[in-house]
Amino acid sequence: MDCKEIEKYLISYAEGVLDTSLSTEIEKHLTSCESCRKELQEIEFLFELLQKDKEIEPSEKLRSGFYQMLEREKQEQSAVIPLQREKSFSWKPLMRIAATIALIISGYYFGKYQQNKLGQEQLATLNTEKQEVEKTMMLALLENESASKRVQGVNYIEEISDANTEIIQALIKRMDYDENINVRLAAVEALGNFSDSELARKALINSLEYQEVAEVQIAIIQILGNFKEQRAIKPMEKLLEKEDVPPFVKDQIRLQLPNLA
Amino acid sequence: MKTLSDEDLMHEVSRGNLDTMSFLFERYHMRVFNFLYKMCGDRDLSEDLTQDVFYKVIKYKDSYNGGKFSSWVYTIARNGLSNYYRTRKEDNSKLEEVMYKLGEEYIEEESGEEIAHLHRMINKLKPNDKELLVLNKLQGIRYEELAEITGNTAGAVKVKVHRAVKKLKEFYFQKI
Repeated sequence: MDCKEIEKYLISYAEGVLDTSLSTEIEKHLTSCESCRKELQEIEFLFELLQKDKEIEPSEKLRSGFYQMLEREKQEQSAVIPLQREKSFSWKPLMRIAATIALIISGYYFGKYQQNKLGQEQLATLNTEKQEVEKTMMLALLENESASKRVQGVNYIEEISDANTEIIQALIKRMDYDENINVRLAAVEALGNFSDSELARKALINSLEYQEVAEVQIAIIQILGNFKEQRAIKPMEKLLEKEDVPPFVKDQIRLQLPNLA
Repeated sequence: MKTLSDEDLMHEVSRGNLDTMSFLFERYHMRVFNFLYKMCGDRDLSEDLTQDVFYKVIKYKDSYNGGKFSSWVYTIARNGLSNYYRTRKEDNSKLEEVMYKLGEEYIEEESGEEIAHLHRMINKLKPNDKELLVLNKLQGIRYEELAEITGNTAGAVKVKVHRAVKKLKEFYFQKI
């Protein structure tokens, strides 16, 4: 190797990341080449200097500010519970009743199963009953006043294997009308699991035109891209033309459009 | 708690256990603050932006996707800084001027002429080069993670860092 090529490797050499054969070759060259040696010395000097740079302590204000902020966030989080009790109908007792019913049903079927030893059929029924209870609970959660409960409700859906029209409609309602962005996002993501539902697909395409928050837009764009949903091309192109759509959303569209065409 | 990974702690936060956030703050606030401080040279601004980073981690805890926590934190810090500069720019103050002026404050705190000179030269780099140099050579973030943070490939990051080192070397030895 000549000096020009050696020079290309000198920074990597100083970083100590070259393999041994290359390192030996460079060392060999260095013994006989004054100018490359000087070059390396400069690099190593600079690296040493950069390592001498010390970390600087922030003032105590940063830590105290952080812990104050954390307290505020915690209070905001827990404030939801008393507020709920006063203002709105609490779902907690209902959930308890639902759980009790589930328990009775399962007890009933379990006993029956033991007696009859006709396992398969009963277990299947048990599962459907259990899923019914879950669905009811989930739909109730979706209407809760607390945003985090609604997110929780949306997340339950992923555990229900055969969601029906009722559930998909509930999700669409959350995606389109919920005031909280986290709930909207969770709903979009949950809808992304129903690629074979025409209802879900259409709703996502429609929603793309109305969503104004970039995060939600991006989530929808990605899901429609995964679906390879050709009907989404037009609304996406429309978004590209809009001036108030942020550039990173447009980038996401440009990324997905080739998947659709 | 102390033995848990950053990612485990963050999952705990996502689940609503906000107290866990204090462990992540203790692990990361020095790094985040120093990154911002070395980029902008303004102590108060860096403290405010650092606090904002942790506020955003809590605010967006539900969107944490389980990826490497440190990459996520640095991404948030970078965005915070560039948002700040974007609004400043709209105020009609030139970015470079702000950066230069702010850099002086930081240099004054440093001990030693060599380090002061080094920082003056780092400040002469273009913002992108400066950022990569600070993250890689001052904060010790590896090329792979830098690639994740900046949305590049590791190979491209390496080439860019090397280019920044060369530029810095030129500046440094030209003036001394």
